[in-house]
Amino acid sequence: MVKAKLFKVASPLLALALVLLLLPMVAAPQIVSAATDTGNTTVTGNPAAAIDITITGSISDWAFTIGSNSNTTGVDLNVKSNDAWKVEVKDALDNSKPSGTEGKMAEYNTTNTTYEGGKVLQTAMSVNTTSGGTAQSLSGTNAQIVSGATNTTDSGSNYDINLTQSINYGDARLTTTGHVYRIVITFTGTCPV
Amino acid sequence: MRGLCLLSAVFILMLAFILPQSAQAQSIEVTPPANITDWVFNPSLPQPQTQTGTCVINVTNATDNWTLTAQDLNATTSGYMTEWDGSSYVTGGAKLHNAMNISATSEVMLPNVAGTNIATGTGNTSVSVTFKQEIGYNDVVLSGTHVYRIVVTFTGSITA
Repeated sequence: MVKAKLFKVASPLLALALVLLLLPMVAAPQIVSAATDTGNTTVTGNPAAAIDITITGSISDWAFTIGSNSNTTGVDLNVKSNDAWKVEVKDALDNSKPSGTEGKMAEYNTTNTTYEGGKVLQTAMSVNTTSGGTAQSLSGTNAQIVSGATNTTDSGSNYDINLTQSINYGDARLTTTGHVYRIVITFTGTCPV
Repeated sequence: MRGLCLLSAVFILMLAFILPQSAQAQSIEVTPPANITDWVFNPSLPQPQTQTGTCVINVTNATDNWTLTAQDLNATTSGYMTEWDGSSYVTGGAKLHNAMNISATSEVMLPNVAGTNIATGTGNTSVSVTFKQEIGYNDVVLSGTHVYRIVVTFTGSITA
């Protein structure tokens, strides 16, 4: 009698316990922690060889004297390059400068902006940098004035350009109003070398 | 009391049969952007230089929320494209001066050790990913078969 009563009381508790016991077993497969997955992308590359040169300044009304005339402050060069490089100069006869005057300052009419009059300085202008290097006598062909064996910094390397013009008594003084001796120097950067 | 026992048994059977079909396990699959090979950088062009790709996110349930991160897990590169000889990183080799950035809905700078998200979303999605690399003239050109290299790891995670 006592046993039967005990069973009656315990039976619901056993059933509840059984439910609680089995519930995690049934539900466990549904408890999933946050899933992750990964994938890789490989990136390879190399800079193309690149050079950027910037010329700033010019020289106007350069008052020559007999002898060697030098200007180191009028023209500056900045070179940016990511590989070995060089900078060359030449007289490209810009603005229809007469053929045969390569490297030499020629008479120029500032009013008409044309080369005219026909006078030409006897000595070619020479160019180098104040950092050294051989002074190159300007001609119609490129001549190297500075170079680098490797890349520059990101802001580049700066150089003062040294222009030298020899004047002698055979170089006629220009007296026509608006006439001067003029030359345009072309700088060319090359990378790699 | 017998009825209660029977009811309990039925309940257990219902759980056993119904629950597995009503709730699927959560999973995510990440297909990273395609490899980028022979990226030709140019310091003369506007910076940063960019390449784009698509990262595909597939999740089990359309309502699953996910996050996407981009990291460089290699201590040698640590966010910077590094000289690679074709089979391994060159000891003491060159590195680009700027770390790579990865951009989707937000942008991170590699290596992104903290795992900051570049995108979040719900359900299956294709995420447009932009690789951004700033190049300067101080980044030397590598010769021969050497290139700059980095491996970007994209990780998708399902969030609660």
